[in-house]
This record gives sequence, C-alpha cells and structure tokens, in this order.
Amino acid sequence: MSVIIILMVMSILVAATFLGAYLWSAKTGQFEDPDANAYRILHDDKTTIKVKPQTSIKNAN
Amino acid sequence: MNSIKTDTHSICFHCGAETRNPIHKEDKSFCCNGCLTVYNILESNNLCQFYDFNETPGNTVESKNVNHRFAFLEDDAVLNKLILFKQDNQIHLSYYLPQVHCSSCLYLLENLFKIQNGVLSSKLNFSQKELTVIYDSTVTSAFQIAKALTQLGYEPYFSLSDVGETAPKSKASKQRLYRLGVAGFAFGNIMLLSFPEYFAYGTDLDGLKPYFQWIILTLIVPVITYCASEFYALAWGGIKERYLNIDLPIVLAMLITFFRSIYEVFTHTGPGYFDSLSGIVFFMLLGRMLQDRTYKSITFDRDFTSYFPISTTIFKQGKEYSKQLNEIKVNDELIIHDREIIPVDGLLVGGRAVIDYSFVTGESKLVELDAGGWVYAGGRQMGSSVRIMAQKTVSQSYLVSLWNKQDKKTGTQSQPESKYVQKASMYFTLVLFSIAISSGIYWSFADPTKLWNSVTAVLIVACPCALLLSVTFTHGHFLSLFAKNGLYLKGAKSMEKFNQIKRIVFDKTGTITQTNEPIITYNGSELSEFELDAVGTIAKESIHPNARNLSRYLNRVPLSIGHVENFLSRGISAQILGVEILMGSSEFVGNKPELEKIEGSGLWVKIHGKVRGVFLFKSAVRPNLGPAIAELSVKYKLSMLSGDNDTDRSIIHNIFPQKTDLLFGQKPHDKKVYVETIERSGFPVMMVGDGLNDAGALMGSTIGLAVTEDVSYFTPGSDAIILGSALNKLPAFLVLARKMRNIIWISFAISILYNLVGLSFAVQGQLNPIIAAILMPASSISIVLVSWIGSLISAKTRGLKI
Repeated sequence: MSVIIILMVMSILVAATFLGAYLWSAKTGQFEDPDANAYRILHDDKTTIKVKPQTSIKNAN
Repeated sequence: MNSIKTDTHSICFHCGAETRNPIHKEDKSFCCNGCLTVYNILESNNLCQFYDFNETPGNTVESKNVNHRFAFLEDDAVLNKLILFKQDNQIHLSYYLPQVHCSSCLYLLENLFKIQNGVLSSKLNFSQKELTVIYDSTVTSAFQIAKALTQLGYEPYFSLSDVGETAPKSKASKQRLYRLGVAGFAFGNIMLLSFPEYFAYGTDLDGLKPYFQWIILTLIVPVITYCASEFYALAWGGIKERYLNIDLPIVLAMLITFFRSIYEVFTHTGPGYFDSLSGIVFFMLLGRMLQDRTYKSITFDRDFTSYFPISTTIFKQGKEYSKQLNEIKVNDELIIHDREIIPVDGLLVGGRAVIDYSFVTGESKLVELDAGGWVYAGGRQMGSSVRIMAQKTVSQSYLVSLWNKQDKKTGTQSQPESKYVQKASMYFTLVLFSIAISSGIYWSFADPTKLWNSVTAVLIVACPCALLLSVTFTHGHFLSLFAKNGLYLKGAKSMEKFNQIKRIVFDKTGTITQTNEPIITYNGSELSEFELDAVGTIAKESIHPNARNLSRYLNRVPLSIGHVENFLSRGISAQILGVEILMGSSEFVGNKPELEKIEGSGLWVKIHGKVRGVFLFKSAVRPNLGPAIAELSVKYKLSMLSGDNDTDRSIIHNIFPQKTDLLFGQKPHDKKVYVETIERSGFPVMMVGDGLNDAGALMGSTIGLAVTEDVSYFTPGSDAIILGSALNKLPAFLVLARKMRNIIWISFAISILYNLVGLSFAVQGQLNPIIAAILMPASSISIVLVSWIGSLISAKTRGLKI
C-alpha cells in the first residue's frame, strides 16, 4: 500500500506541470482576449503569409 | 401637406443602411460610394469572406477629408509617443477602432496586409478594439494606414490622453490569474490528499496520513502567503483608513483556521482544516476575478483630454504645420477646419466663424462671429476654415478649467466595496464575536478543555467568505447583464445607488431627442426629380446642421454646382445647371415677415425666382421612449430641463405626464442648481444628460447617467453611461437594480443558514474537518448558483438580453 505515496507524489508532479503550463499561458497573454481567438479559427486564410496585393486602395478609387 | 416622393427601399449590401436611391453593382445595392468602394477593394483582394460571417457587417463610410485629421501622425514627436516598438524599419503601432463590432471586422482587419502595401501584419484585440499593426516604415506610414483604415470604415480614434501618460496595463489582472491557478491547484490536490482523513479509518491507509499531511503542508504555504495576499492588502488598507471592509473578518478567519490547523497537525490532535481553507481562497479569488472581468470591459473614466484632438494646424510664415495641443502657445495662429473642435480660447483673425457650443453650453443655436470676436475652447466650428489667434493655452482656457473643477469626483477608489457589504460585514463581525465569546464563556465553566476548540471553530466556520462570494458574483452577473443591454456602470456602488433615488431629471437635446435625425416634412408645391436633386446638392453645401440633415435624408446624387454663396445663419444661394436656387430662412427667400410664424425651424426653398415651399424640422423623440417615461412616472417624479427655448413644448407634453416639471432656457448653472436644490431637500436624484452642459447637474445628483450614441466617445463625468438606444430600458434597469439587492439578501440568508449549521457543531466543540470541508464548498457553490440563476431570471422577466 505504501506505493500510494509514490503515486501521489507522481500525480502531484504531473499536476504541477499542468499548473506550470497554465501559468505560462496566462503570462503570454492567452487569456487576454477570448473573443478574438474564437473568431480567428473561422478564417480560412493564413494571416502570416504575405500576399502581393492585387488592388491597393489608391487604385480602387 | 405633400410628402417627398420616395424610391423603392433597399438595404445596402455592405452596411445594412436603408437607402432610397441605391447604387447598383451586379446584383447588389449599396447606399453610397463609400460602401461600394470598400466592396470593390474586398472583392479584388479575395476578401469577400468578410460578408459570409455576418449580415451586412460593414460600417458606413462617410466621405470626409481626413488629411488634416491625422496630420499629427506625420509629426515624429507625436508618433514616437504612440509607437509601441521600433526596430530598423519595422514599427509597431496600435490603433483604437471603436467601430469594431463583429467577427467580420476581425477578418478584414487582420487581412489588412493584403490591402495596404507596407503592412506586414496586424492583430486585433477584439475586446479592447485595438489593432496592433506592424509595418515597414520605408513603404508606408502611420498616416497612410490611418487613412486606409478610415476608408474601410474603421476610422481610428486618437485622443490627447493617448499621448499623455499611458495607463498601467493589466498587470494586476495577470497576477490574479496566477493566484487563481495556484489556489485551484492547491485546493484540488489538498482535497485529494485528505481522502484518507475522510474515509480511511483503521485501514492500511492510516499509516500514510502523516506523509500526506506533509505534502498538504507544503501545498498550503503558497496559498496562505501568495494567493491570499490581496486579502491581506485590502484588509490592511481598510485598517489604515479606518473603515471595516469585508476583507478584515475574512483575513481573521483564514489566519485562525491556518494556525489552529497547524497546531492540530503538530500536536497530532487532528488533521486540520487545510482543505476548507484552500477552497475558500480559491472561490473568493474566482468571485473577485469575475467581478473584475466585467469591470474591465468598460472603461470610461475620462477627463477633458479625451474630448480634444491630439493636434491642430498652425499657420506660420505662410505654411501649415501640425502642432500638439499642449504645445500651443499664446499668439499662435491656428487653422480650424470644418467640424473641428476649437482647442483654446482665442481671437478670430480670419474667416467667418459659426460655432456650435451645444455640447458645452446646451444651446443649439449657432454663434456667429466676425474677425475680432472671441471664441472659447470646446466649441465646434461649422463651416469653412477659420484662423484663430490663441490667447490662452489649452488648460487655461475658460471652459476647460471649469470642466477640471467639475470632473474631480470625490475619490471613491479607497472604498471599492459596496455599502451592503460594509454593513453586512459589520453586523457579521459583531454577531460572530459575540457567539464566539459566549461559547467560550460557556465552555470555560462547563468543560475548559473544549474552550479553544469551540472558539476557534466558531471563527473558522462562520467565515464571511460566503458573504463576499454572494456580493461579488451577483455584482458581476448584473454588471455584465447591464452592459449587454447598453448600460455601463462605473462600479457596483452605482448600482446600489439606483435603489435610493426618488426623482429623475432629464435633459432634452440629445437625451430625449435624437439630435442627428430630425423629422423632416415638406410644405409646398411638389418638386420634380431634378428639383429634388438640386435641393439635395445645395443642402450639402450649406453649413447649417439642418441643411446637412436634409441632404442626408434626401440622399440624392449631387449635381454640379457653381456660384455658391453662404450667407451664414440666413441662407445659401447657388447656381445648379443654370438654375438659380436659394435655400434659407423665410426672410432670406423674400417672404413677408408674417410667414415667419411656423412651428419649428424651417428651410425655405426658392427655385428660379419662385418660392416653392418649406422643409420643416422637428426634433425626433427617441423611439419607444414614451411608454418608458410613462412607466417611470408611476414610481418617480420626473422633470425635464432644456437649454433651448420652448418651441418643442407640445412634443414634450405628449411624452411626459401632467405633473412633470418642464423647464426651458436652462443654462448649465441653472441645471446644476435645480438638481442640488432637490437633493438638499432630501430627494435623491438621477440626472440623465448628455452634454458638457449637464456636467454640473450630473455631478450634483446621486446618480449621473450620461447618454451617448457611442461608448467610445467622450462623455462628461458620470456614474454610468447609457446608450441612446437603450434609454427606453431605463425602467427595466431600475427594477433589476432592486432585484439584485434582493438576490444578494437571499444569498446572504443562504450563507447564514450554512453558517448556522456549521456553528451548531462548532459551539459544541464537535467541528469535524469533514463537516467543514463539506459545508464550505457547498455553501460557495449554492451561492454561485443562486446569484447566477437569479440574475438570469430577473433579466428574462423584464425582456432584457442575457
């Protein structure tokens, strides 16, 4: 039965890892703006790839 | 009375506005060229997914001359204050875009790099409506990006306060997130580790208890030190300022729990109450965080710096420069363009000034000045550009110094908690101590061994934590309910003040009436299509606000116009395709003086030498306001104050019941005195107003409610902001404030019930840790549920959005 102690310690370490992950995500601002993140997954395009604009605003006028 | 012929109505594909003369492209209609342009831009860049996410997601684009508006962005000194980050040619800059309202906006704005050359990427913080743009300064500039954003319908909003000191960002809330995480982690694991305590009597697990207790001890240390630190800070703040807030008894209960548990563990007399302790801390942090999240989404603490633009144009040695407002010196010559705000007191030296002081003084009548006349800061120039020689700096200007005095509301920051909580914690602490003392006295005679046991148990169980929970959670729910329905409160205290008021005072212009959309009727001989086009064209050229309203209403395609002569407050004359047109006052078009007596201000039209008719303008009362006011008049005595004269008296009479006080011609000072008189005679007042002319009254009343069409724009200092469209929900809001108080009482009662059960064990010296561990979370959860469900039910029964 004393193996439970080892299990407990292990489980607490695992939980501590998750706590660390939570603290890291809070630190990097992932909880700042829940709405925007929810909307962003609906977009099809990749926003980091730069595409040459076909019509700039000047031409459209 | 003839009515204007109207075309078939359509809805603009881009912005959803109803339009009488749509512009067609393929199978879509648009209300104006601005919307059509945006559509073209999106289509040619393959961004039409914009329209898939929401119905008519666009913002109406008014064609304005924006070059001078963002001129300050070309000024390096200003730009450096706004830049977030700069490296080589890469610049990070944030734009506040108040028009952001849906997921399509997010889509469009984060694809800005496809539309505007030089933009590398952009990220939108949706809840703060801030777009952070990274751009290459060799290709584009902050100014060009601002122009591009405006053309897309998202005009950035900069205010003087942006270049002042930056407000401390959300460091505090991050700390709370960390604390919450640690507390939750500790709570869960301690509960788990306490299982042998609860269930294992005399089994093999008995031997493990000491080891688990060590782990529990290590887990509780961060909880009692780090996580609970904010309670210590608040309690200490309360002690320093000599008032009793709820954190004081909470800290007391926490510390007693902790020390008794430590004692029990080290003397092997018991397992301690660490599970309840960590649970309490976790739930209370959760409640506080919920309350803060709702507060964070509305920040409207503003002073005069939010009203003024960042910079203005200076005329020096024949050239125009942009200069920051706080650098304007006496004798600087400023150029004030159409619709710009005059930043300083000064002398008019060039051009004809026609100034709208309505926001500031409450008079909607325009003030005309010739060269040599004195202008005041805060007025808005309507018409062509004028040149002003500054005679004061911004902060010295007369009205600004007035606002500064008025805007200083007494610092309520030291008392964040509401009156209920203070009262409740006072009573609670008294009752608690008397129970503890009496139990102690009893046991000192009956069985002294149980003395400390029972006294400390009483102090542990009867934790006012549940009180805090009920208040924070209920406040949080109701605050967000109100915000969703258009009422934004400065804090929970404001909501409680709602329940005190006995009188409601309304301002007229802008509050009860909608200033931008008067009811327009036409009296006269029917006008042909061409004539309507001509009227629309000349109306657009006029500086008179009613003429502009008319041109917007008619929405005609402009014709080519020549020989325009603006006769200021009298009228305008022009030649359109060879036809001479006059528009203006009755006298201007040559009518005999008797014809002047018509209700409401009118614009007469004379075409080709013949007077054709008059357009009449009546202030439109906000829709649905009538029933709301009727409902309010049942419970509260109403008054209405207006800075205008009483031409609209009949309309107002229709809405307000007989016993209402209707006062016209009220200067800002009169309004303030009126409100203060009522307050002094013992009747708390709610003042509902919108302009700076109401600022004094708003400050003097128990609750000041500022009406606005757009939450991002400046409002005078008030306890709350209400959207114009939500004004008809005012009765519902007041009822809900009462319900909120009731719900708080109910949850108080529930928490007291739990406390009584616990106390009954505690005074007997029989407080089992298991019982404590069950009671604490149970009371917390039931309170959370009651406040949440209670708020939902209250909102639903009054038809508010959830």
